[in-house]
Amino acid sequence: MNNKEELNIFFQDFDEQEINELLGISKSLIFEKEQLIFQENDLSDSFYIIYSGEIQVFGSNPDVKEVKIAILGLGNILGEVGFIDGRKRTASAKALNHVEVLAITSESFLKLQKTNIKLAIKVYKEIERLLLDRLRNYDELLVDFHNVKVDNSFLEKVKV
Amino acid sequence: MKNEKPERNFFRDFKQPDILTFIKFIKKCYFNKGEIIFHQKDRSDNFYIIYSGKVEVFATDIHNEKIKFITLDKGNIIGEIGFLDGKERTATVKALSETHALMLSYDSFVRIEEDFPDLAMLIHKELGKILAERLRMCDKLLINHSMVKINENFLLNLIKDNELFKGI
Repeated sequence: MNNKEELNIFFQDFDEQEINELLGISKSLIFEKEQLIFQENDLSDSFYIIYSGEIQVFGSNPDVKEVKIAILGLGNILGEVGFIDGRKRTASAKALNHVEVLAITSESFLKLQKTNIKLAIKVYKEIERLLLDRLRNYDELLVDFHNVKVDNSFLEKVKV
Repeated sequence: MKNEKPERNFFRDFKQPDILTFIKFIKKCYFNKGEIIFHQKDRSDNFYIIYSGKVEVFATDIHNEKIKFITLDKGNIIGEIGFLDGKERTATVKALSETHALMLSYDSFVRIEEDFPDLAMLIHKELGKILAERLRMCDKLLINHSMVKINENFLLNLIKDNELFKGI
């Protein structure tokens, strides 16, 4: 991994030591034009930080093979929802040109939790920030999707 | 929009030692019937878990008309977005009956992050999963609506290209 400057956007609030530690737990991956980074309904495992090239995020339906959702590039994060909840990918992602990404798997993130919990929290908060921005764009639609509950076992354990 | 049944419940992986520490930081709150827990656009940053009672979550437009609302009760979580990003509340929450809730303030959470980082990570993970769940639900609705639009266009073009209903 050569060009640390190109990572500035994601790593803006991280110091050099933290960046080095993150580079240590991540894998550098390369994708050529048209290659898929992941496909809709794949099980999720990693999130990716893009440091070169562009990626098309897309969905599909019976009539249209490619419903374009977004184009991501330098400094953007890809795959964060699946990384957070471990469920299936909600969309597909393919390289539009020569793409280089840093992949952080859930396994390597767990390792980071053990070696540097505060850095792990910091990274997690960056990802949370992304989700929060996207949620806020939905405005009043959010009200319909407020029905999330804690498990009964939790309430019982707290014994109010 | 009817209340969709949640697919999974949260805060399930809390072991007893985590709970004992967590209890030290949460406050028990009580709201009278009709009391507002927080207003849309407030900048408050507590999050709540409803222990008993019923609340209504609603958004209003610029004319102060209710445009969307949902009723929540025991076990439901509210306020996590404002809690995490410190920006304006996305909706108003009002107690429909006497309501008891557990409340965690952002200041308390910062102390947990400093003194009990493993517990903080656990809470972050649960909240992260909650955000992801809500985002998946919103995205799904959006994609379904787009799909409906695409199908309509497809049909209209099909009719036009094939001169169906000619002369009508």
